[in-house]
Amino acid sequence: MIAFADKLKKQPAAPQEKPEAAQASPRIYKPFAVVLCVLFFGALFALLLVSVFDTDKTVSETENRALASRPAVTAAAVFDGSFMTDFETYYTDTFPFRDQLMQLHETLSDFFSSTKTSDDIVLVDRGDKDDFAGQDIDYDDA
Amino acid sequence: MVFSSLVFLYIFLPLCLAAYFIPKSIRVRNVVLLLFSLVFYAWGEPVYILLMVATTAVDFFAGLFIEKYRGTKKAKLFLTLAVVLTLSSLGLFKYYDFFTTAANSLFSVHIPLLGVSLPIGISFFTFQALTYVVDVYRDKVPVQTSFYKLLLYVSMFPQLIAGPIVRYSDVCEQIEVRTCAVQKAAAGVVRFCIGLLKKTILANFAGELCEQLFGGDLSTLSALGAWVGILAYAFQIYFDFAGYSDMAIGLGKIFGFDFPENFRYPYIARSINDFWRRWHITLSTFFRDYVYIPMGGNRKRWATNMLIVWLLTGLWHGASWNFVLWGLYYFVFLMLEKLWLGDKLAKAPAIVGHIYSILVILVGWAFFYFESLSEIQAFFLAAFGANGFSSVTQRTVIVNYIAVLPVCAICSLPVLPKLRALLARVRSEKVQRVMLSVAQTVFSVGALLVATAALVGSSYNPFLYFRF
Repeated sequence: MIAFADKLKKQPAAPQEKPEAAQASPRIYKPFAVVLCVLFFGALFALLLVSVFDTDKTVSETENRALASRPAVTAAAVFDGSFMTDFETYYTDTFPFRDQLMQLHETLSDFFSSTKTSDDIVLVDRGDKDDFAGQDIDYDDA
Repeated sequence: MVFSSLVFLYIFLPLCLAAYFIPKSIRVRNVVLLLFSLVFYAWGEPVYILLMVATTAVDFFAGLFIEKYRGTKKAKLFLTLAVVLTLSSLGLFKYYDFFTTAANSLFSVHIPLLGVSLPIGISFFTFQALTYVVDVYRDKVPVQTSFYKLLLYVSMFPQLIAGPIVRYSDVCEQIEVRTCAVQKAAAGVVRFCIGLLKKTILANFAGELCEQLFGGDLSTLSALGAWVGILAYAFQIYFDFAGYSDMAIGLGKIFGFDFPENFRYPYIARSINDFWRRWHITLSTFFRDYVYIPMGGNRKRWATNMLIVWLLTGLWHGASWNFVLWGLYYFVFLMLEKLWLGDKLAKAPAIVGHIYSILVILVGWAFFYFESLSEIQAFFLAAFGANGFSSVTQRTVIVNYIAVLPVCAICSLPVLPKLRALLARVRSEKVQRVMLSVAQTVFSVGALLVATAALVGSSYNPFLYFRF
C-alpha cells in the first residue's frame, strides 16, 4: 500500500545507521592523534591560563571605546542571568590577543563580504558603557 | 551556554576535560559530566534547570512503577501519567500562550496569557525523557534505578540544547561502559572543528547576507533579492543546525559516546521524501517511532496519521502559525509524491528531482523565516516580481557577498566522502594514513584559530535553534 510508510519501516532505526564517511576509511596514526589532541586541548588550556593571568585592557584603541569590565557576582545577577551575559561580554572584550584575532577575522571577512573595510564607520550601541563618546574621536579621519 | 562562544571554548571546555580525564573511574567521570552539564544549562537558564530535573524525576519514578507493575493495567496508567506530565510542561511553557491567543480571538474571550520565556532546549530534553519512559514500557530498555544516571542522559551538555535527539536506547549501555581512546577523541576534535566552522563562518556570513536583504522593507524587495535571500537563509539554517549537531557528535566522541547522525547532506535530496530522510534525522525518526507507528502507522488511517505527524512536526519547530503552515506544506508534497509524483521522479533524470526538491525546500523556508502571514505574502509577491526584477541597492549587497553562496553550496555537497574516495586511490595504505593524519591535525588547529578569530571579531553571533 503506502510506499512512504513501507520505506520508513524498512529504514533501519537511527542508532544502527553508520556515518557514511566512517566506513572503510583509513584511521589516523596514534602518534598523530596524540599530537592533534595535545595541540587542540593544549591551545584551550593555554588561552585559559593566559586569560586568567594577563591584565585586562580597559580601552580598545582600535575601536575607540571602553571595554567591558568583570561583572560583580551577586545572587540577583546570577539568578536573572545578567551576570552570565555580562561575563560573556567581558570575556570577549578582554580575550587574549584580541586585536590580532580581530585583524585575522577582518582579513577573512574581506573574502566573504567586501563591505567591511577599516575605513567604515561602525556604529556600536554600547549602552551606558560608552563613556568615551565624543572624546577621543579624530573627526578628520571619520 | 552555546558551543560557539569563547566562554565555552576557553573556560568551560578545558576545565571539563581536565575534571573528566584525570579520574579513571567511569562512576566519577559520570558525576563530573553530570555536574558540568548542570552548570552548562544553568549558565543560560539559572531557574529553569529545576524544570529539567523535575521532568527527569517524573520519568524516573514512572519507569520504576512501570517495571514494578509490568504486564498489568497499572503499568499503562503510569506510562500515561508520565507522558501527560512530561508533555504538559512542554505545553505550558511552549504552547500555552499560542493556543490561548488562538482561543481568545476565535471565541472572543479574554483568557490571560502566561508570558513566560521558553526554557532553552525544552523541546529536545522532553522528547529525550519521553524515549526513556516509553521504551521502558515497551520493554526495549532496562529500567534505570539510579536517578543521577538518568539525569546525566537527559542533561548531557553536548546534545542538551539543540540535539541530536539521542534516545535512551542509544546511550544506556554507554553510560555504564564506554571506551575513551585517543584516536576516537581525535576524530571527535575534527568533527567538532567542522561544526565550529560551519556555525561561526558559513552560517554567520550566510545569515548576514540574508539579514541585509530581508531586514528592510519587504515592499522594496526585488525578485532577485528575494530568491538570493531565501537561498542564503537555506544555507544559514542548515549550517547553523548541522554545525551544532557536528559539534555535539564530536564532543560526544571526545567523552567516549556515540551519538546518532542528524544530517546527511539534505540539499542533495532527489525528492522531498528523500530530504526528510537527510534533514534532522533524529526528529523524523522520533515522530515515526513514537507517534506515527503507535497511531497505526500505515496499517490504518495512514493519511490522518501523516497529517497529524506533520502538524506536530510543524508545531515542534515553534508555537506560531507559520510553522503549522510549514508542516502542512511538507505534508502536501509528501502525499503528492506518494500518490503520484514519486514514481515519476524515480524514473526521471536525477537533475529533475534535484531541481524540484531545491525549489520546494526554498519556498518552504519562506514559511519558516517569515513569522506573520502578511510578511509571507509580501515575500511571495516580491519573489514573483511585484517589485521589479532587480534593484541597485540589492544588487550591491549581493555583489558584496558574492563569495558566500558558492562556498556554502560547495560545503553542502558531499565533498568529504569524495575526498576520502580520492585518498583511497593512493596505493600505499601508509601514505594514505600519513596524509590523513597531517591533514586532520593541520585542519583542527587552523579551524580553532579561524573560529576563535570569528568569535572575537564578530559580535554577530545569534543562535537560530534557541527557539525550539
